[in-house]
Amino acid sequence: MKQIVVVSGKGGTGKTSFTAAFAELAGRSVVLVDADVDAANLALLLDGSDEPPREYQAGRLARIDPVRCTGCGLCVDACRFDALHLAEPHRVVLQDLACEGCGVCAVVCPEDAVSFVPQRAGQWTVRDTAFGPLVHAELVPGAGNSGKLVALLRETSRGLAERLAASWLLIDGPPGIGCPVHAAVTGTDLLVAVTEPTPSALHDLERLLELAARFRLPAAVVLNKADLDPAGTDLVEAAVAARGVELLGRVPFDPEVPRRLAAGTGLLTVPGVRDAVVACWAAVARRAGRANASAAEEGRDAAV
Amino acid sequence: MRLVVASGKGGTGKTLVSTHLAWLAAERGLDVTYADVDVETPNGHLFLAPVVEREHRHTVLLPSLPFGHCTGCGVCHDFCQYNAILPLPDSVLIFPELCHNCGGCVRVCPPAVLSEVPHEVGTVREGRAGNLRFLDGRVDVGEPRATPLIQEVLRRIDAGTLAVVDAPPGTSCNTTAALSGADRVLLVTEPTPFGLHDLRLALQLCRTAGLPAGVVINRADLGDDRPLRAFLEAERVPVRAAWRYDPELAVAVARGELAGRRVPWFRDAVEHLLDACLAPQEDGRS
Amino acid sequence: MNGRLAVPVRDGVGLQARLDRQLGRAAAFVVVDLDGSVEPVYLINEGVQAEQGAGIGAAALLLQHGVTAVAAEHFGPKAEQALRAGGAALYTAPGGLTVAEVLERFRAGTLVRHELKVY
Repeated sequence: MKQIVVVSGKGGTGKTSFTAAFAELAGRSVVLVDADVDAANLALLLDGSDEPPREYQAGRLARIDPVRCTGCGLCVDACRFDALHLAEPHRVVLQDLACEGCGVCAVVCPEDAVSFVPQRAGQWTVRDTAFGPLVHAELVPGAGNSGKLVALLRETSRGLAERLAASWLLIDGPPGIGCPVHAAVTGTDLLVAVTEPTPSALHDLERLLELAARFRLPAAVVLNKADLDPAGTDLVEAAVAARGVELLGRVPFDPEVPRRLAAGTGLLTVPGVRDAVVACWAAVARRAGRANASAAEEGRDAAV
Repeated sequence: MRLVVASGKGGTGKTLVSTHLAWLAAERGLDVTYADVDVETPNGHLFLAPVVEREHRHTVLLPSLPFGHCTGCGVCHDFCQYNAILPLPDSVLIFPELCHNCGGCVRVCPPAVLSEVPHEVGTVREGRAGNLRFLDGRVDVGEPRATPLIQEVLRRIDAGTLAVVDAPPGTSCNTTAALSGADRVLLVTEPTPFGLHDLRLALQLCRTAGLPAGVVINRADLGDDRPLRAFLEAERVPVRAAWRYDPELAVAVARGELAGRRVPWFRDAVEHLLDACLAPQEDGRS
Repeated sequence: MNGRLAVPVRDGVGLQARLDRQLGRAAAFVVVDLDGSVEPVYLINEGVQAEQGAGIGAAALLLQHGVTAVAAEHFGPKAEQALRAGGAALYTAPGGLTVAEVLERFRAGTLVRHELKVY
């Protein structure tokens, strides 16, 4: 089983539509994960019935007992997350969104006015799609810590893939290069970066490839909307080549794509785009097959 | 007034909208700051081409055990909610990548031998682009702690001035941090099921934070904007602007230019948007 | 033979419990006293729900209970670093074995020593 993660750095370059198309091309031997738990969209493209959702809890939140609190303000000064504020009259209020549940307020409180409640952070489930099971989740907006949820989804999907003896585990990754991305790319066999010929996408791609190098993950690039700007395409190709990263394919821009996505169908239904995406998947499969096994082994589960 | 431009889904046009709002506000002679807090992937500088005047390496404090008087009591381990400290018989092993720098372990250490040392997380840049004050943050590659850097960029915004904040996508820690101190939020979306799905979540986050939000529909003709508009109407969320896909815009973005300089209709559209953003708010706090 | 061997398990509480694949996210551990003077101890892994660093939490739990050797199918890098720092010896055991079978192989010296990897 090979684990492929589709990422981009910059958002909106086509991660999810490529992941869905790759799933269709993977010969029904695939398990899918939507690791963009802040904005999980893969399920919108892949119909199927969901198992009953499972609750996901992460961390805890402080609670200030208004009867005990004297408004001394010691906790306000001690909180590094700016979650506590003094309000009139002599009362401390907590902003749930900023609280990380660290417990410092409870340590400094002379009145023993702080307690903690578990935080409901979201839910997750497995969907039975035409191409294979899709493990996906929804995080409560503002609940924070998505890295753990990503790790949980990946662990679940790995178990599923082993049980089903699936050839591929396809991960639709989050944008950016931060902790949810760390959790999504760790221990994969190949990182596929979807980019486009714009300075923003290239700038973010460079940061992403730097991250891949640091995690010692084999990486390759797919250039989406490649015909949008020939000069930009040259820049991306040069930058990718300079890093010794393989360019797996170029996919043309077609305004029909967003229209098809709006209609709930994918890249493979747009004729000019289809061939290019099929070629990309063939290149991904070939590249994953000879991905540097020792590098993948070393990076495996670096976030456990 | 602090206006945060956010989105839920990535790649909908946050940077396009926020750079233009800030640029046009500066053209009007307003004292305006553009602050890019999409610190994992900051792109505003590519379009505003600022002259950077100051760079500051931002640090957070992480625990450290400099001298060997640790009794191995394990109180710090029991306190730490993030499993960042392992107690050993006469020392501790600290896992800095897991630390949230709350400072609690140092407070609870009975022999008071744990102390804190600065750890660099990224760079804050300050500069100018014409009449515009420019700020951005750039987290170090591989660094998991982005929110302290976001807070640091926001701290450098002068009170009483107009600030346009370019937020990270998503709805978790980084976006929440970007919304802190906001007066109004502008959510940029696109008329696809993805855009709508993520907009719902972003709107939910704004409501949890008690912030009034308006919406900008980018590329309104690419896809189907009817479900989106029906949703916004039902939720009574005002549409502050909507514009069509124009290959000229895409070309300007591809060249790293401010599209409003070459596409007059777009400049006009953002001027109207700016008017709407600066006008006294009549609604939004639904 | 001195020391204590810990094995992460997913079901069962005694020597017939089966190996869990993950150390940090294992449901529980069975700790066996190698000179036989103490009955096997069953430790629930309270840290399984930890937001992060479950491997370190598990390592701390095991070290607190005087564990000197750990046999698991797989070690995460942080759990590995933590256990090594605590002086425990690490062994890889094939999945699906019971604690009794792991113990048997350990005593026979046929468990593979988990090699140190440099990250």
